[in-house]
Amino acid sequence: MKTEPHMAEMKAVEWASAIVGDLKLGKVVWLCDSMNTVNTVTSKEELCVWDTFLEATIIRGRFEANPWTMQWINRDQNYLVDAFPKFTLKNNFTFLKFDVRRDVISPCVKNFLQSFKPSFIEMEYVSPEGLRLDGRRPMEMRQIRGEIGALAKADGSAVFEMGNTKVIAAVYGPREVQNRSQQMNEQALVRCEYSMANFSTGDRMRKPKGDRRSTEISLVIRQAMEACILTHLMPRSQIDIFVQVLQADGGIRSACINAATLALADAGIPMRDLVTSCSAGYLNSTALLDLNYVEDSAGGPDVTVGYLPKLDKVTLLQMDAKLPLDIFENVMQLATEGCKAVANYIREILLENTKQLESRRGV
Amino acid sequence: MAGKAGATPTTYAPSPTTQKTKSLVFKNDDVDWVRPDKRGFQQCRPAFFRTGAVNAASGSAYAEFGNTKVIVSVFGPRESKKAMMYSDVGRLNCNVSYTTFATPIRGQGSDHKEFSSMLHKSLEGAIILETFPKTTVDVFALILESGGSDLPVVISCASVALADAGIMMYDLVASVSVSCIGKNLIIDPILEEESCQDGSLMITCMPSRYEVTQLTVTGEWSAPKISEGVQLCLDACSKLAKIMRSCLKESASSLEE
Amino acid sequence: MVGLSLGEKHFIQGGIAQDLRCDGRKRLTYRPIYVETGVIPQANGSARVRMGATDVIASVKAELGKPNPFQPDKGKVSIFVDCSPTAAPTFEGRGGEELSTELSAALHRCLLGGKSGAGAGIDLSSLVVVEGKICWDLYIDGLVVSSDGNLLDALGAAIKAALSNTGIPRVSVAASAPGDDEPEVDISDEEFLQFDTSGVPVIVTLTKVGKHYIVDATTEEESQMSSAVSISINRQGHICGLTKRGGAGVDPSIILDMISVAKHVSEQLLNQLDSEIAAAEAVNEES
Repeated sequence: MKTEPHMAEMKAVEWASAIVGDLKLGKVVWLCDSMNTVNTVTSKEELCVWDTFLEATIIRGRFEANPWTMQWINRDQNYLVDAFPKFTLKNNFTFLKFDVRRDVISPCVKNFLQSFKPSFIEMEYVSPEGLRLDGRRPMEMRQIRGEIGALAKADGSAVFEMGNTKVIAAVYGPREVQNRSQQMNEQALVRCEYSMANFSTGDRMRKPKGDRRSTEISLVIRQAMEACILTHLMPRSQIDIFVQVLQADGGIRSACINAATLALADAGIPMRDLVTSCSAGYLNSTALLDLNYVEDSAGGPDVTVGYLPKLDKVTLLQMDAKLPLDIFENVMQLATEGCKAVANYIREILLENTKQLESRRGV
Repeated sequence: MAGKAGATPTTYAPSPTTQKTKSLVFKNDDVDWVRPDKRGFQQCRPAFFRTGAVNAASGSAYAEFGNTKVIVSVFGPRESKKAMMYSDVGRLNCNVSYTTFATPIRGQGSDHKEFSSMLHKSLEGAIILETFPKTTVDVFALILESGGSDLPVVISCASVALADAGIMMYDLVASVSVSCIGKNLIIDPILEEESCQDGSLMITCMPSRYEVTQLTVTGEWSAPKISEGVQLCLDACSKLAKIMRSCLKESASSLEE
Repeated sequence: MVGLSLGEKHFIQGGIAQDLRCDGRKRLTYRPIYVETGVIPQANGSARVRMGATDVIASVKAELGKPNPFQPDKGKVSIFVDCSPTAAPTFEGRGGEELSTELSAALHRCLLGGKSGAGAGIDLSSLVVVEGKICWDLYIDGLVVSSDGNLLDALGAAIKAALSNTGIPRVSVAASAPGDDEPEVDISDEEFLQFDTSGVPVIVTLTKVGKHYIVDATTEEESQMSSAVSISINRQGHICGLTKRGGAGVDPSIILDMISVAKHVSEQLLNQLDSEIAAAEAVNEES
């Protein structure tokens, strides 16, 4: 039997009144946008409904036992509770937990939310003072740290950290092609493999390699690096880039590409330019730079940009979810600025490394 | 059955004799404990080998030690798949698998994935790889029923199969395992003894050359205990090798006839 | 890796015969060991061990689960080693799988003892919460980041360090009605129980090159070996596991001799490792 809207309304009020009754809050004012419901609950006459008789009786009993009142308000004013089911329906969720107590106890919170458009309910990713969940400003990147030459056995290696995300990259090559059928006579073959450690994410992963996400990210990194390595200088050879994620906390793609750039530079492979990468997103109507895992899993848009600083060209551009075009331009600009900052840092590291090599040679 | 109304039960009930006793009643200091199959502590199960079990293979052997039944087939020397990678010694490729009905609980045998590499290590010291360069010898072992002490039986059976296939070896490879339960050392354990063991020691050796190709110890052992266990196993291996040799001689002489 | 020339092979073998290895060590000397603990914040315990160019990371994660019906008073431990392709290009894709299974099986044998649980380095009965219903499942993961020989020793040391860094959260069991299949448990975020690692053994690998054995072989030395024996010894001098790897046959008396040499070396290694772990923990406490 299909549930009619007023039946649903009554059922909802009955369910809510049970919870509020347990909370024992004292005086409660119920705001409802359905005149029908308000009349059924508050009128002193005898009940003349027939399909919601049971719910109405229960609700009336509770209202009489507690110091509660019910008022009618205009539908537009009732945006908070109205937006909640609308958001649910729009995003195909079947259940979304909402903290009832917050709305009842602190009306100041409700006032704060008044400034938002009633299109969907959002968790607070940016506080009203402009601080994110980990205390950063929206345009602030996490702390980055890079190190060259971590592995002695590889031709080139690097460790790159962006906040809590830690990635190690190793480069083997140029060397002889292992699979003759893939050998190319005019240029070098670039191969890349991405793997995550079992312990890198919060829940332990079962299969470190071979799943679809790993294959996709391997492809993305390979295409980004291949575009900037001067492959025609090393025909009939193979360059292997291996990236291992030790800790994952958002922005993995970017950290991998930055680490791979450092490792390739350490291996002495000729490149057109450094490839740097950074990600940016858009939450709570603010563009945020360098999302961490919590912000990334919020379901908002996530733009990853791979950028060549000297040549001022974009080599990788990926986005999840959707964004209006003008906001997208802002977010992409922000990510590019992030890439430039990373590029400066990488250049510093490489300069430092070269100075050390010089001093070791006795120059 | 039709005439005996009332004597036969109306519903089917499994006969009580199919119930197997699971846990061994066993105390740590029980020296007088008798093994379920009435063997002495230092007594191995009677071994049975037969070659020529699989017609399609270059060589094959079937071994039965009590309840453990194993069949091994050897293919080769065959052309190496990776023909580009020239190697002046031959390659050995081993694979050990359990049938699904081998263990009391169906499909439980897959815990032992490392048996293939252990078989490889045991055999590679005995085979003269230089006699078949650029080729591969494949050894496939199938455990039909797991009645305890599976890997030693597989290794012994594999070496009989290799001899049947005519692959040149330095010596036959015999293998025995010893289980430590409390203070006692029990040779050639069966499945129930293995599941309550405190430690195990498995030796693979070439008896005539008095060389050990593989040794695996699990559990806590003190040094004198290990040497005692090793000595026990070596004696048992030399006896086992004699049985293997006699079986091979039999099959060779029956061919001549 | 490029192969070794004949001259290099003779150099390695001759040097070992004269008690002088390529990097100047004696036959029974380990490379300097660096231990760092707490490298993975999300895990319950973690450690990173570097022996020369060999670099391994071990992490321990604890989750609540159901105990084995055959052993209701013991927790469960599972060990898994992954060889990262950064260590060697041959580990790409499924190339490293064989080595991974071999290392996992060897570690399992060395640390977890016999089937009945006796002689286990890790005390499994300390992992049980509610007997028969709830126990801790320990997942020990090893990752080989860089390989220059002697992986088993490094992994053993890393697991020992990770276990001493592990904190199992305190669990309070809500009193439940009898016959309840899933008693309620409350995992505290604050209090942690430190794991007792005095019983955890250490693994010593002896590699036989020519007539002599060396400890802590590098990759070049390992390519020249005739056989190798990995022995796991605990503080009391008992052998908790032994694996012989490598092709050639070996006289049994030599194996017994190796065991006594390993015992002697393991004492020094245990002391060194314990002091390194204590130092690493102290650094952790300060920061």
